[in-house]
Amino acid sequence: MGSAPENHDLQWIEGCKRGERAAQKALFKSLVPYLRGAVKRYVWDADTVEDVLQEAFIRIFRSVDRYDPQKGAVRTWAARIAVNVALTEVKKRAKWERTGVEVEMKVGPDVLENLAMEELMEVLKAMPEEQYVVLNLHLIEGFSHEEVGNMLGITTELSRQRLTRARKWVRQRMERSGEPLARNKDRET
Amino acid sequence: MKSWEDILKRRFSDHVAPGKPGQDDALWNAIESGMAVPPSGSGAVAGLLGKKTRWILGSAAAVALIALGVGFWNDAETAPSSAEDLTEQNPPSEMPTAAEELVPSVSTPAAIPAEEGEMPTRTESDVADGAEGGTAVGAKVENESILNGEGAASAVAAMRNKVKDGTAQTGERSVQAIKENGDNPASDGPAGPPGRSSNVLLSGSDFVAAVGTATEQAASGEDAEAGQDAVNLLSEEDGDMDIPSLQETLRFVPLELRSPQLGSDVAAELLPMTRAVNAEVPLALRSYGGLTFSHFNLKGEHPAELSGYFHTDFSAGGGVAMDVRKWGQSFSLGLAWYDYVHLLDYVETTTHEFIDPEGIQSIEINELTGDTVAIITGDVVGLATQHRYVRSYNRYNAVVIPLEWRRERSRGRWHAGWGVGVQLLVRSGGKGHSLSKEGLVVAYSDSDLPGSRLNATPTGRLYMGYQIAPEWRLDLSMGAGLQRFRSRRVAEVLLTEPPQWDGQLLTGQCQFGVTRFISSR
Repeated sequence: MGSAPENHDLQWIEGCKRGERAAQKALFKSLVPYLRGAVKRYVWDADTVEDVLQEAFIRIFRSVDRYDPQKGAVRTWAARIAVNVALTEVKKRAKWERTGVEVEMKVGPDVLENLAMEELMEVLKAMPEEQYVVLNLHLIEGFSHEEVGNMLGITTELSRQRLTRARKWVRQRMERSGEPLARNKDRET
Repeated sequence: MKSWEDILKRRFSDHVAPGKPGQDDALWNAIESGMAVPPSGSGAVAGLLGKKTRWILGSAAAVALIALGVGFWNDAETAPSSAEDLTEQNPPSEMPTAAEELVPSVSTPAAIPAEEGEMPTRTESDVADGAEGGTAVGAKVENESILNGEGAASAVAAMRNKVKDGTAQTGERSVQAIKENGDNPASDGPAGPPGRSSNVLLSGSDFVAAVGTATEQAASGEDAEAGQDAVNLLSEEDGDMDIPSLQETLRFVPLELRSPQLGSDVAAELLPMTRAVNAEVPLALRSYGGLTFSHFNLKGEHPAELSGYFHTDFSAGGGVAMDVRKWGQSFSLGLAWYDYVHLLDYVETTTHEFIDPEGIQSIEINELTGDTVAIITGDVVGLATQHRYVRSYNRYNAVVIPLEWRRERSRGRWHAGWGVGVQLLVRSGGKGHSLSKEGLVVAYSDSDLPGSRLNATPTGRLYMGYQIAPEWRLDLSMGAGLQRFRSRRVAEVLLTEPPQWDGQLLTGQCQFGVTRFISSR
């Protein structure tokens, strides 16, 4: 998650710092597919995804002076902002929005490899909301448990517990599917 | 075998979700709109403040400006506040601090100590009832005066030294001449007309001004006796000093200060100020501030109806100016900063074509039963229409150097005039949204405006003022100007930059001001 920023990213960042509209638009075009993918992991509704992206990009452009190339790629920095905005949006909504019927799905590693992203997310959405968010933040986005705790307003220990339950949830679905399960004990917390 | 966590991580990390056709453009437009709105709690929101706030700020600025000017005027005039205070101002070395109330028939020369060697602190004339009396200096100068002994003496001495080279005139001797007259209140003729008197503290320079006034009157034959006395006083030891040379020596001396007693009829009698002094004053300094207005119109290839989406709005500005009278004409040169705001209130409508892969291409219906037999789906071209509501307060601000030629008329204390000229504007910032000729919203910032920050605009101004004192005037003015306002030219921009727009910015100012006249004799 901490790869070095590319040159054109830095050029656009510098342009954004000077308030150049062209640089802002170029950075937007570069980031928007990735950020949309990230936001969709937290927000299901398509309109809300766009709202979150709008707010995220505004924050990105306004806080562009605070970007430090030493701390990672522009994409990573921007994704963190977008995820924060998405989580704020999620918190606003009292309940997790589940549009589909919850179906007990059984998946194996091959299925995980071959499923379309939307379908894969549908599978994971069946997981309890709080576990799903921690799984995403820690496993996918790379936040530490301490950071996850701060973002969600929970303790570090609770974040660990939720991740454990999330892993357990996935393992149970895979075991039911009859596929052999590769456990990654190093990552168990 | 790969861990499911690795699979998830890899797949999600690389996951990108391109938007539907037109979706990214719509999102970018929404972001641009959002960027135009300042973050809540931001301090840099002057151009986007609500109308009410800007009204308050503008009014407060105007009031503060006037208060500043009036306050300065009051500070400059250290007037005693009561007769009692006045009589206590005996030591010549002390500057009186309070002015005597302007009360008719106040004549208490006996209350003034006039011990040998002591500087007289007061000369006066009974002005309200027109009775004879008053001191020689009071009658001549037509003022009820408290003299700062040292200041008056040094001023007179300096004046004499200017007039007569090589003549050693000491302040003490000058003072002595005054004092002698002051000690003999009944020795002179009648006091001047009531309308000529006022209640003033004179510093050294003011005293010189007052004497100058008296000599002018003497030259004009008005109150000849008093005028002659003044000349005699000044030329007591300088027999060769004449009035023209005296006037020549007194250049750029501030006009006499008078306390305006605006609520009193007596005061009105005593403070006629019927002379249009400012009309003859060669130099005046003016500070002003207030509301600015601006209205934008698109020009060139833009459809005329697009201009209707721009509305007049207001902001604030102010500056200082120097009014000069030269060659029988009046000119002004100043330095100001104006912030102009106009509003764009517009709904942008865009249409995008997209292909729906699951669109309904045809429906087969059983004609007899009406049942749907089949639905054939596939690629269908669709049109998506998006509406974007834009409400943008567009800002333009500049450092302004106004150059103006003026004509003015006066009636009593009231003055009115007009001026035409040019303003040289040096743009200090600009941002907002405009419209392209296709009707699309174009965001711009300072970097999108022309590289040359200089602009010139013809202006006109109407003003009126009320003279609150001979050397102070409150002004209210309305001005307008017209300038070109456009984005950078094609040759100057990259292809990635937003479309161009061109138009005219009509600007206006409604301002309060304070003018300080500086007299020349």
